[in-house]
Amino acid sequence: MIHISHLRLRSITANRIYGADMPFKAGLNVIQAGNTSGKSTSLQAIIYALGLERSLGPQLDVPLPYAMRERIHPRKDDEYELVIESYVEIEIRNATGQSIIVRRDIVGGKDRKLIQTWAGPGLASGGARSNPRDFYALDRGSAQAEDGFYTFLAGFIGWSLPKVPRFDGTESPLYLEAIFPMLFVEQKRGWSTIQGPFPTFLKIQDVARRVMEFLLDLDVGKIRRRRTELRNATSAELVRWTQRRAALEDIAQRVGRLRGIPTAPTAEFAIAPELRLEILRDGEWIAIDEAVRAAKARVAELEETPIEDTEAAVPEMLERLEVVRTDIDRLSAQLEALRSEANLEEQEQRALRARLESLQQDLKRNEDALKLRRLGSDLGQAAGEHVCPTCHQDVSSELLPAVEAVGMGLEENISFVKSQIELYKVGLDSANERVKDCYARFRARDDELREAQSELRSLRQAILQPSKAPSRIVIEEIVRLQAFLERAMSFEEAAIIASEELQAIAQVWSRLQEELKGTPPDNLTNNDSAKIYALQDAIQRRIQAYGFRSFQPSEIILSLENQRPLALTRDEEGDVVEKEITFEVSASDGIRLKWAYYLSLLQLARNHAGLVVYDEPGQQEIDASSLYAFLKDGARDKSPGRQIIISTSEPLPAVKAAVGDEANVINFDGFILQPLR
Amino acid sequence: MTLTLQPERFSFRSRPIAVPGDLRIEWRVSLIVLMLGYSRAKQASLAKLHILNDAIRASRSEHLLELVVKAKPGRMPWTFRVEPAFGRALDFVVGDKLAGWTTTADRSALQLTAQGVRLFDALTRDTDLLTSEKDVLAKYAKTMTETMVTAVLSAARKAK
Repeated sequence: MIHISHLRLRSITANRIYGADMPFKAGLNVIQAGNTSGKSTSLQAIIYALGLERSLGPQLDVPLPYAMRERIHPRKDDEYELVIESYVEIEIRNATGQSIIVRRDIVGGKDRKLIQTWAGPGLASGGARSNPRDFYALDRGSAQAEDGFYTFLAGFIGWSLPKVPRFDGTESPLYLEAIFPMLFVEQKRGWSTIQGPFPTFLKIQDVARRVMEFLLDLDVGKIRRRRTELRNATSAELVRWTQRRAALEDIAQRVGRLRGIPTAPTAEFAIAPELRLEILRDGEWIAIDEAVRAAKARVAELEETPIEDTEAAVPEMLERLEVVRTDIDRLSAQLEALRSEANLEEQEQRALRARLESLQQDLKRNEDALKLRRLGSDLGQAAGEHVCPTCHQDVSSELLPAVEAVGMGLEENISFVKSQIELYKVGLDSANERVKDCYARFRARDDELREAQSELRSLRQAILQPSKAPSRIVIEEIVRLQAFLERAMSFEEAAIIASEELQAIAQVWSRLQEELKGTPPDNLTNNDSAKIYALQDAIQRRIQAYGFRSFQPSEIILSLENQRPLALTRDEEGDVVEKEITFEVSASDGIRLKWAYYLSLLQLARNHAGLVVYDEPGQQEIDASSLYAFLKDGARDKSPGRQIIISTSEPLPAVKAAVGDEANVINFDGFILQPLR
Repeated sequence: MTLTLQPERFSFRSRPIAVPGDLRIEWRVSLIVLMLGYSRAKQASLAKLHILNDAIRASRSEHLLELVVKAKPGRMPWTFRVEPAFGRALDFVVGDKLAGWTTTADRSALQLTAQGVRLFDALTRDTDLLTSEKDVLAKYAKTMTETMVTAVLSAARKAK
């Protein structure tokens, strides 16, 4: 909640100080004075002091008249004096009873982007101020940074502003400048629409809807917000998953191949991850455990074997040498075959990629052609109607060279291309898989070959050793096996860590998915509808009291989308249709509707700031009786949480008669800014 | 076994065939209108249109446009292709009075009519249409002068 307790204007010339002081109370406040006396100045000064002038328009100029900026005189016929220094101070109060003074300089003082605040005592009582704080407004970050004035003001009012999507795809808080047009009806543009007008420079999507969702505290906005958050979180998890998976796969490739990690997190993986590393042995992919077990058994067996001396081992070694040689030949041949296989697969992969690319381009062109049909006859006869403009024959063969062929219809063609794309995508995926597999096999064979070669080398050396020296064959095999075991172990360790991390990601992901599924659709909840209907009822009751005549009050309803008023009328066939209000109601009834709308919102909107300001509601030469009915209605509301400030140039006795003692009437003759004594 | 003297009759019906998007009349006509619209004075010689057409159809020669616009004349290894379908589309454009024949730099050229300009405006207003094509044309159609076109043509001649 925010209430204005006091407004102070000061405009200082070389000779004297001009000023005005206006105390406001809870409930209805009426500023009564003649035209061009400074009523609007006073109300705009409130907006200016709060740094919200951009809610009236994006220009950074001071929205105050020249009496506060350039020159001033006490009465119409007096000489002008130049303004040397001027400022606005207001005292504001919130629901917790906290009261602060806000000051913003206009000319001659501090930078206009600076807004200063103090904690009491009140402006009326004067005295030394305490706890000064400086804030900046209008700058980048002033709505989000700690020392930004809007952050402070939103906190003071008790608002936590929701994040809303902008046209450029980013998000921003729902700026105070977007909300204030629903609290403050400025005289020059404010009466032109029922809601707002909202500033567009903030680039907030659906701004009317967002503001109404916030003020009425509708669930639908919160649900939408939550869904966006969940979606963002889901895609962040997906990115983490992909990175982690790629890192693990990188390690795996050095040993064999990895199986069992899906490309995206799944619920199954979250519960029971099953991760397998396979290595190629004799042309078959086997689980790493099996290979490790076999290697360990072999090591144990070898360690049992007594080490022979060279002479005894020679026949066996020669035999082995033959075997290894054949192995090497076989492996080399296999490697060659694998290499050309990989080449073929890669070629296929490339061809598929190129095909897909050209299909995508073709699809785009066909789709463009379909969209171009919207232009109809603007495209000319040939393109629009498929009739030759010169000979008037059918040109269904499009631009194809073959005269006899008939071109497919565009829609059919598009789905034809799409199905091809689908097909080729599947093809490309499996080609990718095959290429990977090819390389895994290639690496495995390559390792085997290298092992065989080193065995061959050591056999040769062993045979040439002195005949009494111990044979090196066994020892070297043990060393080789152990090197493999070490690699396998280190990979298994990495896999266990990665698997745990991946499982954690999958669990988070599953929870997000679950919550996303549980989020209700973006519809109004029953609660929301009740709030909107209550607002609608209140508005209907009020416009009736204010003498609304363009429609039956019950025919004015609120759109469920952004709560703008609509009129129910009948079309030629007698069906009831909803129509935009703009052209359907008279100008003065538009004004009545605006009074009723803002007052009802003040009464019913849960997040309302508790303040409504109407600058000169007597627009469009509206019946005085309607205006008095409105004033009376405003005065009736005695709730302490609400403050209404209205300026009017209607005669004072009539105003007083309408509001009685129920309102704080401030009136003055001549200019509001007068020399202070 | 007796042979049927009169075999059962077969009948064939020709099925429509898939048409590449660039052979669609609406696509190509719009493209030509865009080419002319982005060019100076809403007109371009036939040769220039063929060059632009080749560059857009095959993205392979798109970077060649950059060479044409930026490089010194005579250094363009580009033998561009003349596409028959493009000629047919040009006839449609003229037949529909979207553009009319004129001459520029002693070459026969096309210039958008008022109707063509209207279509061009409608096309440029719609931001999700022919986006990549518009990007290329906005960049090169205006800057490519007829002198550069001559340079490309003579380079092509020399290359042969």
